Amino acid sequence: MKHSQFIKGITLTCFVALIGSFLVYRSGRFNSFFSADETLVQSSHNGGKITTSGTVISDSTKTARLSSSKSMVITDNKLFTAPTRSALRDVSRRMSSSKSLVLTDNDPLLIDKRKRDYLYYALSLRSELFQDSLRKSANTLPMWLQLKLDSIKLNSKNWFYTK
Amino acid sequence: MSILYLLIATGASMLFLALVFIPMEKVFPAKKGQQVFRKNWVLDLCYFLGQYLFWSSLVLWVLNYFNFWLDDLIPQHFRLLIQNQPIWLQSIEVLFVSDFLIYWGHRLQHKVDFLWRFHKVHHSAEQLDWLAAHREHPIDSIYTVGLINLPAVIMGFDLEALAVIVAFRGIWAIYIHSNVRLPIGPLKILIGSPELHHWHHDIERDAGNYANISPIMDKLFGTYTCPPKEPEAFGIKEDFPKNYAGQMLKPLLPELIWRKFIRKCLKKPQLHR
Repeated sequence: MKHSQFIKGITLTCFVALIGSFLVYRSGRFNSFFSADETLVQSSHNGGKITTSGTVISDSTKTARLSSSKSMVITDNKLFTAPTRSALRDVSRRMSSSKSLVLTDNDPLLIDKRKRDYLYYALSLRSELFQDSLRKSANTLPMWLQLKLDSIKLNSKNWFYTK
Repeated sequence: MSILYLLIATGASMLFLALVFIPMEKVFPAKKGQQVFRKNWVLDLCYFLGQYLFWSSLVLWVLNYFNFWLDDLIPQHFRLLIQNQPIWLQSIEVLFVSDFLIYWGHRLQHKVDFLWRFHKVHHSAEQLDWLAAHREHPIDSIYTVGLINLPAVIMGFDLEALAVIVAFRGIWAIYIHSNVRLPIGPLKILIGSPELHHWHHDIERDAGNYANISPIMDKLFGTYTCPPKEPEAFGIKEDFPKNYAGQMLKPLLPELIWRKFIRKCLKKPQLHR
């Protein structure tokens, strides 16, 4: 069946518009319309809520993945939840060598999850205050402390404190 | 995440994709006369639903699991070194290395019999369209998604910074399978198109065009092919089940066990007199 130029033009325009709007949606521009949770993230200096607990968004928020070369998923299916980093760390501590056993963590500079959370919180406040990126704020810390932090989180936007 | 939400999201995704691709397949068809409800569309629908409702989450879970283990193996110094580069440079590095890995990973899928066992599920589609793009064995997904994300994981790069490109790559992966022929001129060298990828689905196992998204790797490594017409036939030459359960199971079982299993299934029950 032959289609007129008009039909072809309309179809092509719709195709481009739909793909364009999908890309805008995936970039997070529509988050405030579609997701109630997203609105709770502090988006400006004076907006949003900051509680004293300074909850850190968990590692499972890292869902942006390059999809397979054959197909893709438009929505994030989180039926299975990823194991937490701390849970895996605990397991690895239990698995000692077959030749020796470490009774205590031989790390004098141990930064546990709680300390790390407070550190992220402090960094995010500092970066808001000085209008710096988190990475730049983290650069003010000594190197050994920088190495204890998650580099992915430091490279992200300032989303560490939520409701 | 509630099941209801998942069902609604899957339905919405399907509606959206149908809205995007069906008009295009009607107005700019590559194979004229191919119906929307063509042969084996139910099978591909099963793959679509399976992927959206179950497998994609499992793949993501496996990926995250390995991500956590890998995190401890990568020296933080290396990551800091990479992350001190400007973000645009990191993005280019991630995308280029991903493309390189997926190109060679895909070539291996066609060369190595063990990988082909799973990958041929995807190639078993005899008619291509946007729905057939979803025909993929979950083990194949883990392999592909794992490879493509490996550079970002190793570099500690947050792909959310590239959300638009990640989404574009995803939807383009469906587009290149769709029954569309729309010449894009010189852009063909930068972005893959259905006319290139359809040749990859030619009935010959080593038909070329392994880099699905950008054909640059094919150009670099001499596997680029773009005849001016559509391939005569898609699919595979091997004998392969035509139902969802069979296609899921067969790659997992050794040939001998599979044959026994099939014989048992096909055995007609004896009539008792």
